[in-house]
Amino acid sequence: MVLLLAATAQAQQYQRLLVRAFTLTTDTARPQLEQPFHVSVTIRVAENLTDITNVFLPTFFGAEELGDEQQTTHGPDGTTYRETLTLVAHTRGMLSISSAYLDAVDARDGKPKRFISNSLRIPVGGGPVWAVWDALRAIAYVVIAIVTAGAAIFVLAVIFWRRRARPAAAPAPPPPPPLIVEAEPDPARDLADAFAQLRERRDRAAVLVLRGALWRAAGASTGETLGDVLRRPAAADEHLRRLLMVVERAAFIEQARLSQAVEDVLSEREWTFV
Amino acid sequence: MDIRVTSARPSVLIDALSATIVGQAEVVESLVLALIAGGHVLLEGPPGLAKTLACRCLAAALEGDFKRVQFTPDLLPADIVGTRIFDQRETAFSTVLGPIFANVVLADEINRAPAKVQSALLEAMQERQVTIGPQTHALPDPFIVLATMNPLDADGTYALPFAQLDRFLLKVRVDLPSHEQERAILDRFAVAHTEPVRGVATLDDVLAWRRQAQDVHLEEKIKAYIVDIVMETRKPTPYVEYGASPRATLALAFVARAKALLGGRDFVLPDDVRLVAPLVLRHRIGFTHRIAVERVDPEQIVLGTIAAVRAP
Repeated sequence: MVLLLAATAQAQQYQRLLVRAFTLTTDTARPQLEQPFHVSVTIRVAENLTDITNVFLPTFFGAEELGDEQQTTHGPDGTTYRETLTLVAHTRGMLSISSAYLDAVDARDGKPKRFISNSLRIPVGGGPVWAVWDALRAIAYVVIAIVTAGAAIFVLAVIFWRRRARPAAAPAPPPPPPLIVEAEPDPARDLADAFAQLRERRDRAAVLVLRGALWRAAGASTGETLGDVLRRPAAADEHLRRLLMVVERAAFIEQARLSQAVEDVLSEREWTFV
Repeated sequence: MDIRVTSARPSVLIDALSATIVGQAEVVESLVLALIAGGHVLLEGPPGLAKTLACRCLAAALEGDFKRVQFTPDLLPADIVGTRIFDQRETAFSTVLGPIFANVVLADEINRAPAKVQSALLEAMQERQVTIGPQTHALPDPFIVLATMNPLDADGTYALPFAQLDRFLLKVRVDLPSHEQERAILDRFAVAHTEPVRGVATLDDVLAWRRQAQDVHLEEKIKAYIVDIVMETRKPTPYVEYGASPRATLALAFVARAKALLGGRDFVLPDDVRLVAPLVLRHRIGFTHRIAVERVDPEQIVLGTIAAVRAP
């Protein structure tokens, strides 16, 4: 992570850098009292340089610096500068390490700036006795977490069991099925009724009713064409075939000639089941 | 069935063609239907199935002009519609009309010519006129193009785009003859050359049939049936990518009327619609690649789509 803040500086003394990263890291999240640990300042720049100057290391209180090691590496994407401080903490508690600084001319806009890294706050654990105490405390945390999870599972199980144990409301008895008395299909009666209706009304609707009755008489269903019906064995009767044809004509002829077509249907001998 | 006899009888053409051609009843009837409805026909089938003979017989029966154009990859639009030639003696351009100026034009193996030639022919089919240089020439009336395609030999062919296929009123699948028909072909053609029947009808008769077909009554339920069939083709299925266009609706109505007239009726029955629907729809439905992958016969999809609609 890089924190970039502009700062005024003497531009003529500074390197012109395109800073890509400026971070402060530690090799342990919890250093122990009187035990050495490392804090690294890492700067990645786009330029190829032998050294990076004007780097100001972080300051800290409650720790002692034991050593300082600088390393500069080059790669295709520029230079990486890393300075590693070896520290040892003499007091327990929170150790604050301030940000590092880098003064340079920003290659992006040509202005002198102060680049500031992140800071660190790390807890320092205490000595051998405290290490035992810390271990016990960690074990206590684990035990508390297990007990809490077990209790939650128990509560959920009780709720689930009680819901299942609760007697379900008795379903309402289904309404009695409506009493439907289907009339026995009687093609002969349907045909007779259809003929009577056509004689009385002499319109297209009556023709279509008669057509449907004849279809059923021939064993066909609605949706079939005259060609389908004529191919059925039940339509082998010559009189029925002729009647089917004149009715088909009346069903699809233009309205102006419908009355004549109806007359043609009615002039055919009324067909009945033999 | 009660028949209202029309002034002319288009069925004489069917009789004339059937006197020469053995079998191929659907081909013969389709040619007459397209002639009455004023459309063009795409014939698809392997070679040697009397496609050319049927077209020649149709022209002979009408005593009309017949021209045949063999489509090849090096054909040019001018080879079909005609061109202007400079006459040095007259010092002026003269127009030489192409073979498209005939009553019956056979475009043999239409898919062997490149797109610009197909386009020139199909534009002439649609417009019924041809512009050569500054002059526009009307094509003769009646004018019918019968185009053939060979489905077996697809190498070096230029597939007709969907928009151009749509210009054909009917697409007819020409199938191989049965055993009995093959024997009849042997008896009829092996011994002597059979001359087609000539002059059973005139070009004026054709124009009269067209006027009669326009007067054939289409009941509201039949109109709804036609629309239902076309809408059914547009329902998305795993095999159908796109359905038939509104041009198919109009074509189905035209051809159903022609079918009724051919049956001697002046009103359309549901049977008329259902019988001509495969001819009208089979080249107007776009199929997905699954048809080829799963080796499904597209004809079965077309027939299934039509059968799915309840007739009135």
